[in-house]
Amino acid sequence: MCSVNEEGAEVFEVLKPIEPLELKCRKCLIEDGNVVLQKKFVYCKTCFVPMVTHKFRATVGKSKLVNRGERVLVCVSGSQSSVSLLHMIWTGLQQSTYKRLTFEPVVLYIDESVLHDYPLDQVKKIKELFEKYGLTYHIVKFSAAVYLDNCLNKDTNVDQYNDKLQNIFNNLSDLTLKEDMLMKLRKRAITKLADLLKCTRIMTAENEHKLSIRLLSNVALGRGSQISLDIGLAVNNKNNNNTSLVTIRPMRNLSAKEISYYALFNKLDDFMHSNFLTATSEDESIQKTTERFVNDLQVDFPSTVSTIFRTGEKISEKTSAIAYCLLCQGIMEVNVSPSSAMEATKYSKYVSLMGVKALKLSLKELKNEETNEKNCNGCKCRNKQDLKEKIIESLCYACTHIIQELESLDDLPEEILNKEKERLQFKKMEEQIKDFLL
Amino acid sequence: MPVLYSAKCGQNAVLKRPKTGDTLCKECFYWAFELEIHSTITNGNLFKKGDVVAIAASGGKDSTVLAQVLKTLNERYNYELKLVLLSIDEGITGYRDDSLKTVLENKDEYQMPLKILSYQQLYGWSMDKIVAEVGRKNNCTFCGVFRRQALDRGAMLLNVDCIATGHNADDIAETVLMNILRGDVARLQRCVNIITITEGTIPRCKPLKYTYEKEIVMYAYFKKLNYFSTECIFAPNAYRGYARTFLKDLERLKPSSIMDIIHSGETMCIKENVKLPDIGVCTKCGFVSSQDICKACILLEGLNRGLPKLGIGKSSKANKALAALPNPRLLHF
Amino acid sequence: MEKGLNITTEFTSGLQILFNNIKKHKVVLPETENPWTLGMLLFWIKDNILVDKDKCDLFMKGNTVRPGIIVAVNDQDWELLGDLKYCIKNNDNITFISTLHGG
Repeated sequence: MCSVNEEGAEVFEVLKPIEPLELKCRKCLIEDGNVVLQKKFVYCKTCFVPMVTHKFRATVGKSKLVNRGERVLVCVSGSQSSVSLLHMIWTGLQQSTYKRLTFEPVVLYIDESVLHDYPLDQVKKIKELFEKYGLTYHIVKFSAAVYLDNCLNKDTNVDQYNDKLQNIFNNLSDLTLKEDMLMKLRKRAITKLADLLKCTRIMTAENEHKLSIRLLSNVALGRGSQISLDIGLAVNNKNNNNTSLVTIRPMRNLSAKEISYYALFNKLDDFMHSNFLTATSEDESIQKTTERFVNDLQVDFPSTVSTIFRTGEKISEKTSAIAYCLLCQGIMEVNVSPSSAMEATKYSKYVSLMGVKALKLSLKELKNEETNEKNCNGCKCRNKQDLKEKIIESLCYACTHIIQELESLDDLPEEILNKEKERLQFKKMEEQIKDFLL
Repeated sequence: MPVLYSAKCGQNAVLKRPKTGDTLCKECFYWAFELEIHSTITNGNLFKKGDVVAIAASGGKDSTVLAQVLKTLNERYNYELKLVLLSIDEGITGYRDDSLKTVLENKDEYQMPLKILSYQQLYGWSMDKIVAEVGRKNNCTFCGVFRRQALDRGAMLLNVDCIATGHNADDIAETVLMNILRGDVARLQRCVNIITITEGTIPRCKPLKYTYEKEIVMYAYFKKLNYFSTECIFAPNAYRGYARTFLKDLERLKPSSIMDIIHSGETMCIKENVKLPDIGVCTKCGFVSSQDICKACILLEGLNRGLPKLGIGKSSKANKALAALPNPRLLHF
Repeated sequence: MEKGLNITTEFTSGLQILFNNIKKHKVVLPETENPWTLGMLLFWIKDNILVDKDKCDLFMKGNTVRPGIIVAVNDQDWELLGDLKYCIKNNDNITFISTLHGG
């Protein structure tokens, strides 16, 4: 059958031949241009930097996202975007009175050297950078942030937690799931630290390019309902205390090129380190495949990134009931309709295993058949299997994939396991008294 | 964990399911394949007893397998449906002649009535003539728009309750990606619906929504079903090719990606404050349209007036252009 | 007789990993008949300072840089200078910036 969608294939964006560029800056018209944006807008160095800064200030100032004197946790990862964010905030604080930024930044760097190879003295250099800016800062080890309730105490020995963390990631052989898990644990750590440091706002430095890729990756991972959470401008975090904690992404309207040149012109050093995806082939993880796809498409169709981004701004989740995933604290699917991809997938699995027998059984009966098969002489693995199955009830679609890959749940942070036990207890209690509830 | 022998039926496995990775023998695969479509149909409430259902038959693998499976399930589970084949002849010499031959064979094999409608009959233009007029760049736009309306008109002529199309899981996942890439949120919301109902047209459903393309090919191969498998000889839309390659890469990496993307599509929706186009009717031909004049009429007008570019691109421009033309003619069907 | 071209090449935001973690390289390009262009420089970099030839496609694709890598000459966007066709001058500073996130 023809591959044309019957709803009407439109011819897209025929590439126009590139017109010879004006070499002078479009703003001041005097200076020679230094940068070209979107293949047509030329800026000189002197006009470019304020233009980019203004975009940042406009995004932050929008609808009073941050109030005067609020404590804001600024997450710096060492990437170009985050060092640029730091620089913009610092510059904003130096301004004369009426233009000055009025919030109180608390800078955070999470030391992930337990999982990745860091270049020599990386953490020291970061510390020097923070000292130079003279802002309040905290450098925290990742495993401490994930496992400990009070990770700001520098004296605690984190070796056992380092081991646990490494165990989790060694257990996940699938690179896609590894990267996904890392992002979710990082988010948990940041939220926890924001609470600890009494911050009511969090700022992260993702730019338009990164968010577009994240959108497509999320769709490919089955995290379509969490798009507005993961790329939105200001997102309410669900945290334990029910106090308002909002994550803000002030750089989201800036393209990767704008940030690179901002960093170049201001001579900002970045502190990149290798991560799970470094030096892996693009065919080993969804995240990298998506990145390559977007980058390659962008070459021939220069508005790809911005179109994807704008689509993301119009999307939100489709749920009537609201529940939150135990692991990623994103929106969870509840009351799944029988006519849905989730149910179809479950049915496929059972049907494949049961073959001809499935013909006669309903879905419930199939489930019973399967649990009977899993009996393994009452050894401990039965319990582990049980806990895994119970915990999956509290997880969103994509986090389920992650947890199913884990051999043992022992290495997960206590609070996740405790929360699950708590939930099960409540469920049991509810079962007991349900006849009496009005 | 791979199941060495087919799921407890004892026979030797001959294939590995692309969807789940389980190894199965032929019979178990047929059962699984057909059962899943049965469950898709029942869970989605696609049909009622006594419905007349038109199967959009192109002679390709999707529609051939769809016809076969629907016939089988209709008998096995007593859907009590009346099935008819509906085929559209675009008028592309060589390509269409061969695929229509397959449809005729299907008609005999499945003992279903067949109705063929051609672009020539409906619009006065065959694709061969259209391409001669507009060239190869925008011809797919014409074909896509005309085919959609042709199916609707054919279904109305046959007085059916529902049109069943052969869209499979890969198609839907690809459409989700395409709509994100083009920023078309309106279509994004609709494309994952298993039944699409638009005011004034006959409902369409996609019984193969959760069926992987690879499995369709496997089913057709093992059951020795005849189908026609060449791409259209006129250049297909190049942009869709990018999305397809991306999807194939994802599937190779993680076969569940296709279902994951559909799941994402099902759980996304448009924010409340986003404006969507209203649905009305075309003032020229009375068909449903979100503009005053439907796309087909605009394109036809362009062809008849020797203005092949009319209607390509944004609708607002087309409307302006039409309004600017002297003495707009009435189009007759 | 002209001496070889003296230039510096810089690799930032992660690209330095491909070049022994050294960000700044002082380079002397040998004399050639044809003037040195950025296009020719790319191949020279691949052959002379790129450490692991297998990782070449993390830096280059075909005859240009991998999509996602930005090139600036003396703080000027190479798109303003003619991309690969720009003729390198003495004492030029050529910076390669990566906007890629997966390493």
